[in-house]
Amino acid sequence: MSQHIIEKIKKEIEHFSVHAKVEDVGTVVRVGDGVTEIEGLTEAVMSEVIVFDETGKLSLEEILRKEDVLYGLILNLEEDSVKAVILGDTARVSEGMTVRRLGKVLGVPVGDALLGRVVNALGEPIDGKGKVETTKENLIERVAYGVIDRSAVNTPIHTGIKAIDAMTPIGRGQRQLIIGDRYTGKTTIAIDTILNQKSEPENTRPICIYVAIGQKESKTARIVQLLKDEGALDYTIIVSASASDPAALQFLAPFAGAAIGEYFMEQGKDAIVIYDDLSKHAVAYRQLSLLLRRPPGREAYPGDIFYLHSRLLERAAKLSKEKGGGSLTALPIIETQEGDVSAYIPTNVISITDGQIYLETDLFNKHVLPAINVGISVSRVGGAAQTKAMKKVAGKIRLELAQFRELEAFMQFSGDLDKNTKDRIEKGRRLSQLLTQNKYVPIAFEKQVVVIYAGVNGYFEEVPVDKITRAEDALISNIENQHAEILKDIASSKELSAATEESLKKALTDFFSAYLH
Amino acid sequence: MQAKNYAQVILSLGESKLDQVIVHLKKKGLISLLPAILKEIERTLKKREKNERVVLTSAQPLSEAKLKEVKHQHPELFVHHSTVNSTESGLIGGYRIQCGHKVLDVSYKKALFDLYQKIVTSKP
Repeated sequence: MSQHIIEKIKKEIEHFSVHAKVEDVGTVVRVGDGVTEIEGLTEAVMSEVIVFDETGKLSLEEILRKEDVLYGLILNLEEDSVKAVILGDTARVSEGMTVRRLGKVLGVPVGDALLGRVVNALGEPIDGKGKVETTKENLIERVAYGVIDRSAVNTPIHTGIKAIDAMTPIGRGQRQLIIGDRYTGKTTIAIDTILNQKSEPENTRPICIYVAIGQKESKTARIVQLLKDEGALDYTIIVSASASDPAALQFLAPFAGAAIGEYFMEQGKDAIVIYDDLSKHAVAYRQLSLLLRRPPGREAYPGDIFYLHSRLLERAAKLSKEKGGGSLTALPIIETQEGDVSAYIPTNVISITDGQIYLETDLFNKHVLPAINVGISVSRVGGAAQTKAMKKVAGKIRLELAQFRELEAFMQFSGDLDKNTKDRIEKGRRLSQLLTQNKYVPIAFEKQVVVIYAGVNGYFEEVPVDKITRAEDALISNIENQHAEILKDIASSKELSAATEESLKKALTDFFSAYLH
Repeated sequence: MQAKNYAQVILSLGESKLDQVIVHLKKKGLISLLPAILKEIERTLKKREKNERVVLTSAQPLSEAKLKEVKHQHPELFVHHSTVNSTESGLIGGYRIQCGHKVLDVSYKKALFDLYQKIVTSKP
């Protein structure tokens, strides 16, 4: 090993020559709050990376002991100076410091080596597992694919959550917003989606990228541990810009996540990127913009706050066959205040995405989990992103629940209602209970089909509402153990054929007659 | 911003028009801007002086002959007459020339650091 190092050094010395050239440098004239004003750099371009030269007053020995380089990103080009954000510790920059241009726009390392790793917004590992060996770098900011290069979204992403897969299905290449107040289960839905990909065959399993923006590091650490324990970390990449990181890194993190996802998409694979959450991203961008003295608009956000999120989310796509057929699905998360979806940032992101999953605090407090309001949640892709089997059963449950919601107001008068109405209300209550599910226990889609089929066809009629969940677990266990071929058939063909439906009916009849008596 | 604009006007028009500018400021009721204008003028002149000054830093003092050789090798950096020579032993050897915002660094310190960077970042 040491001989190898000696040979390497000798080789470098032999081939080394001084190629001195005149560099265009700048001088820091003002620094504070993560933003610096630099004079000079007359040939700098927008979003160019710069390096702060900390070596000026240090000896060679001290320089060699320094481990990392401090970068900056130019965000304002002004008449006599440029303004840049510092991608690291502001305390390391001092007035009069020399700044050099790197001559390139900011990029992030991408590759399979990132799988299972936790990195920061610059792609540097922060999980203590050593360097990430990658050969490629993707630009953090790039133009999204055009219309011609895309194809229709027609393949589902199974989240493993019945309420979502049945009522608001998500397709590969879609942008589906998860929106709700604090502590309503938004991140849980995202994590369940990641966990459920474990049940996908390896060749079609999407790569998952979880971008934590402005989150507590303890929360991110908990998520990493959970994914590791469930065996999901092997196909997941975590990009973290925590609450204690500079606003510049919080601003860049989602773009880094998108750049990493695009690498897999361009290889013909599928990827899911979760932005948790874009509300904090907007706040970080507002902070940066105000410090860069850009004019504030509504709620002090800069005028291009919509463009910030639209250009990020437009990078999610389903590519055409000519471009490899890969996809990047985006699950942005937005936190509302007091359930106000008509606020500035939520309305912006709702208008950009292809649907939203709306979580309510009231439902959460009533232990309806996940606390999804299926009435106002929507997926604009809809049935195009569902398997035939799920489409068959989902249409019925949607209709039943819609009628139940209409009649819910009459529940207090249940003593005076006609039998038909009472039956619909009872069925609706059972179906609502059927859609509840514990966290971190995603259900494979073929099992969901069986459960929802049983629900809409009245098999749970005689089961008390508070015993539905237990009955459901018993049903799934029974089908798994004694009728596994039904699940296998649905999973492979993705539809509920006539023969499979007959077998399923018989299995359900046998199960419920034994269970109820 | 206003002070900066007036400072630029004064510098471009020159001393002969200074009285006219002051009369104009009095007329507009902006005479209170004068201290800020003065500050801007001083700042601009200091910046110009810095940009027009050539700083040659070497590890050891350079002989006249060596100085002449350096100037001959890099004429594009020695466009201005004002040259400041200084020494910095930390450079180990060689020299560094800075003219405004243009820098040419042919010191041994930079060369050794570049070699180190090349070794640690190159693939096996």
